[in-house]
Amino acid sequence: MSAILPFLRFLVITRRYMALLGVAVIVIFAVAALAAPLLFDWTTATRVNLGDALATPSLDLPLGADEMGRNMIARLVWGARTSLLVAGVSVGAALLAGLLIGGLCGYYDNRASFITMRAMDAIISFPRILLAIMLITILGPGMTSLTLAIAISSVPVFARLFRGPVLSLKSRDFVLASRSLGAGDMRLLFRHVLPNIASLVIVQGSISLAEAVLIASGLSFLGLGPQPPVPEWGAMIAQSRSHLMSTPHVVLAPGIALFLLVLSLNLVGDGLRDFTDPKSTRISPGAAP
Amino acid sequence: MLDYAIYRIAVLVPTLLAVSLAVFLVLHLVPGDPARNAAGPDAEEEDIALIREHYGLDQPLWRQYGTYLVRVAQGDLGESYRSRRPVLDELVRRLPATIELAGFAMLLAVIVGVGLGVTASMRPNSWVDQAIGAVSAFGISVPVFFLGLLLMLLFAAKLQWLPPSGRGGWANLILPVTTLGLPYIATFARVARSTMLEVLSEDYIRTARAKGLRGGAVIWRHALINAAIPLVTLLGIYFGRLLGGAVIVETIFSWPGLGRYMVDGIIQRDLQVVQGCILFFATAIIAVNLVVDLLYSVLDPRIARG
Repeated sequence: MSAILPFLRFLVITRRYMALLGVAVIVIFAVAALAAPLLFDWTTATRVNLGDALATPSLDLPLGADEMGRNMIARLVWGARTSLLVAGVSVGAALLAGLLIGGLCGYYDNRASFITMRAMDAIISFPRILLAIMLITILGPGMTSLTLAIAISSVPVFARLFRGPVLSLKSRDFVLASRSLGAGDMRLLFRHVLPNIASLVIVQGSISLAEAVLIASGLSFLGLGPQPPVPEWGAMIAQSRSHLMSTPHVVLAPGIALFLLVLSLNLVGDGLRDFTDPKSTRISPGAAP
Repeated sequence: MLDYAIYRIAVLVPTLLAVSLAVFLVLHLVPGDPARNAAGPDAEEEDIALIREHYGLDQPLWRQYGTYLVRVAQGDLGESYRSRRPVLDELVRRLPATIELAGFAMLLAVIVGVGLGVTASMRPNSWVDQAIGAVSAFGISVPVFFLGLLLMLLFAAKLQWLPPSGRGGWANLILPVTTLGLPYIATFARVARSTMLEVLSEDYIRTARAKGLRGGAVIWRHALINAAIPLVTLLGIYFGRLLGGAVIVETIFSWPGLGRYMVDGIIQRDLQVVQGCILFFATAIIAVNLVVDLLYSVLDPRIARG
């Protein structure tokens, strides 16, 4: 938390105004997602009211209504909750698992870790969206299987990212010094090695969130995510797409929300990387699904 | 080099076996009775029993896997529960459409993406660089299905320049290929820019400049060749991802390819189709990665030796 102000200051000094805007957008979406039940109750977001079908924006319905007459702004806010919940939980779980696998495989550099890392390589070469589709076929569509599918397909990314730094950190002087003072393996790994890759965790976490939001919405668009009436941006676009030509707002509103959230997460991720490693010229390949 | 190639091809066998086992298990991990799933919701008990026997579903799992392997090795991927057509025939019939879509999208991504990335790296932090950066930030952040619908709205519905969907002539290709390619244009532009910036700061580039070579010759002949190595590795990874993206793009544009076939299979719970598609995709991806790795070892002989 205490690192947020220096980060914002860094963005101002280096004139990364787009990233600053991204921080604002993420905050707005996060607040909306958390406060969704206070802003609009669940029935407002899901009640079918055919009298208002495809209503254009007005005072009562600031973003109009979809083809079932449901309040778009309420669905958008609840959709933010769905997207951020799925992305947050899946990236959080994958991060922990990846940290554990990558950390242990880097720390104990033996045959078992070699085999584990080859398995990670094999999973990573398979497109994530197909891996997720395979898992969802087994588990049946829904929010839980969507979250699980994204989490499992993200683990190898984190495991590979964390193994290298752990491998090089474990032979550094401060770790050796601690070992000579009698610290055990677990204490070395968790107290001395892992805190030193915290910045990597934050940067990759932000990029992975963007990726998770994109993949989750893509799978929901295909009908493999949360089932109706749960509001989800990708599913909203899929359900309303036949009205794109006549009343574009039913597709544009969730689409723009999705784009803004992913763009903001990517911009903040880039900003964070430059903040934590100013020398780096590397740019992440990006979050294309 | 030859040793490396032989090693890589030898590793293929266990990899393909592992993939086939994973794909085989998918069908059997799905909750419910596969025979009942195949028969449909309102089938008679006798029909279900018949199907169970017909597909060998009453055999132990390891024996079913054995028969499955033998069948797959003979090119039999089973038949669709719905249409009763062999899955392989359908895959072969639809393959050209997906290759056309993915191939042109990859070509577009490499040519435009690398071009933009190299251009951006020549004058870092100039307005050109920043404009290209903004375009690529857009490209990696816009969801493909939303982009596809937007392009369709603009070019097919409003301007009526291009057909909205289906496969046919060149005009039908433009929207789907652009939709599928744009995120990868952005990705290649970002990677090309950052690797070029690294390469351009190397000593041999300074040497090339010092001996009086023109800027263009330095960039294209000396720098890009060296920057090509990390880009070639990416080709393998992104080919797989592109196939994943094709699943969505084919759905939007009613493109009669493999991706749509698989999505239809999932929605109709036609597990033979899903299984066949995933096995096919996995094999294709493994093959492309093998070719890329071999290509890579030609470009950079240190790989094969290490």
